[in-house]
Amino acid sequence: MSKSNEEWGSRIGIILVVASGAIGLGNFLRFPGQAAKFGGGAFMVPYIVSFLILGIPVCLSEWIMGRMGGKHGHSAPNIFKNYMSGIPLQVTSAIALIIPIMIYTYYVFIEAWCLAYAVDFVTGSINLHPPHTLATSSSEALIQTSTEHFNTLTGTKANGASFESKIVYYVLACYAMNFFLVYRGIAKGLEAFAKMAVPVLLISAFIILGKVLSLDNISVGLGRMWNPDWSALLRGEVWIAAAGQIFFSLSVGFGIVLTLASYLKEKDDVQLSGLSAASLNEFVEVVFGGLITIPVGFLFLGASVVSFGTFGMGFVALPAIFSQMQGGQFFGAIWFFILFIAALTSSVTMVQPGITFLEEGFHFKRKESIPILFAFTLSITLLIVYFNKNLAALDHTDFWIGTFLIYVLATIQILIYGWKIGTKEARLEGAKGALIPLPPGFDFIIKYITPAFLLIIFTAFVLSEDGLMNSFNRMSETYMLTKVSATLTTEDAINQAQVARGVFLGIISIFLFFVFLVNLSLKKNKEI
Amino acid sequence: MNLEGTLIMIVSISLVTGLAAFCVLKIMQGHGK
Repeated sequence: MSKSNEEWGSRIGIILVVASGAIGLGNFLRFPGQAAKFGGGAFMVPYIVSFLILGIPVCLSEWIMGRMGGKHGHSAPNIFKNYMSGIPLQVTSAIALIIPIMIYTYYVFIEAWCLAYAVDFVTGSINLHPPHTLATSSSEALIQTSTEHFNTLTGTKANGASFESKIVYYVLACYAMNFFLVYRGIAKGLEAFAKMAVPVLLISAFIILGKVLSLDNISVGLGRMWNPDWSALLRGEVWIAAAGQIFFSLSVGFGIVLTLASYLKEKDDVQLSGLSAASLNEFVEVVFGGLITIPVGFLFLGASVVSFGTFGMGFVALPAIFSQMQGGQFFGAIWFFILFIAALTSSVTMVQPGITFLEEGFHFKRKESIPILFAFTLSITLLIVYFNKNLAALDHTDFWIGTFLIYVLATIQILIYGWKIGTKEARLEGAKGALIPLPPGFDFIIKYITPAFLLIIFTAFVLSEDGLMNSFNRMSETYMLTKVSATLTTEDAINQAQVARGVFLGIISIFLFFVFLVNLSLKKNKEI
Repeated sequence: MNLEGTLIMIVSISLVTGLAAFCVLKIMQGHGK
């Protein structure tokens, strides 16, 4: 395969691109929700342990393997062919390619929600004040109105409803922005944008933080987030939740850092860069995620705020809160602008591995690879947008790609690092150009502890109530009919089972298609 | 917020800020290399 001549403009550039790629909705919405649910301040104990034995090792291994593989190219097959061949190479490369591409297809939809809410707050066209006819308490009525706004905007009431909403135009706008940035290339597109976006994001987040901390009685809200429940440490699910949060937050196992780091030269540092990107992500997560969302939510909505999921927290609870807050229109606009920038900086990095693959594997020029990937991903996005009743298609795609497959890829990577390359060889490789050394004990942890920890999490995930078996069950109409209740009609239950099956079969088909493409690209370049 | 919560919040924020500051310092030191 021909190797791209692109390269990074500066060290700080790649750090900001990788960090901003990792900083997303999970930092601002998922982390505080998980912490408040699983022990408050006590959650920080398993969280920090997971960061040390899972987050940093997987993160650094991706940087080292990426730069190492980059000697022969930057696409997944070119990187992995250094470590494997034949069917394992084709399967692993296909996984590493479909993860970012498929996550992009639904993540861009959520990005469009953020943009739509930001614009609505800026123009003042969002009206969440409940009608006086509602015979519920003001807080409940406000949430009801906010839920209605979200459902109408995103089209969750019926399949196809989203096509009657303005959200489709926002999706197209987000597509245009993402592909424009990727079209500009690594240095002029991704890097230039991250250098601008990260400071803007941090300044905006500090503005919101200042507002939140100046609210009367905010210490009550901070208490809900940080007061520890030490008994939570005895519950296995808390440790699994903390490990899961670290995993998703750092975006490890996405196949993105491998590609981005492959553009580094041999003398470029990877160890400090990897740690810097991870630490910037953690700073945003703990400081802004920990001090804004739950404290302000608890202050305005009380204990019920913990019951909102990630989307409920971000797109129902917080808009409702901003609508009550003094200067809420301004702060609401800033908040959703932050979420939009965080989402855009993440999604743009997801497009790059697919473009790199098309260019290296099939010798397409940028002008050709962009429309091909644009059309491919947009057709999948529009299916997800269409089958959006109760967020079914998005939810199932996220489970199989954003939860299941990233575990698989991270495990493969860590096994390659520790057992195929070998920790001694990998340590020597990482040391080239390194501005900091790997800490003592790192080799032992990455060879034994991290894989064992991953295995435990994966087993728990398979066995958990919302885990793997449940996802298979949800494809069965018979099973879903047993879930019929006041909130789930028979028609909805059948629809959800059909969408679950459709998503699963669709992902299997796309995966096989990519195995075929990888095979073709390797044959085309006579390197299989 | 009780004393334990306050301490955990301060320690957590100090840890992540310290780590980020360490990285910034090292990047600045290594800038000329």
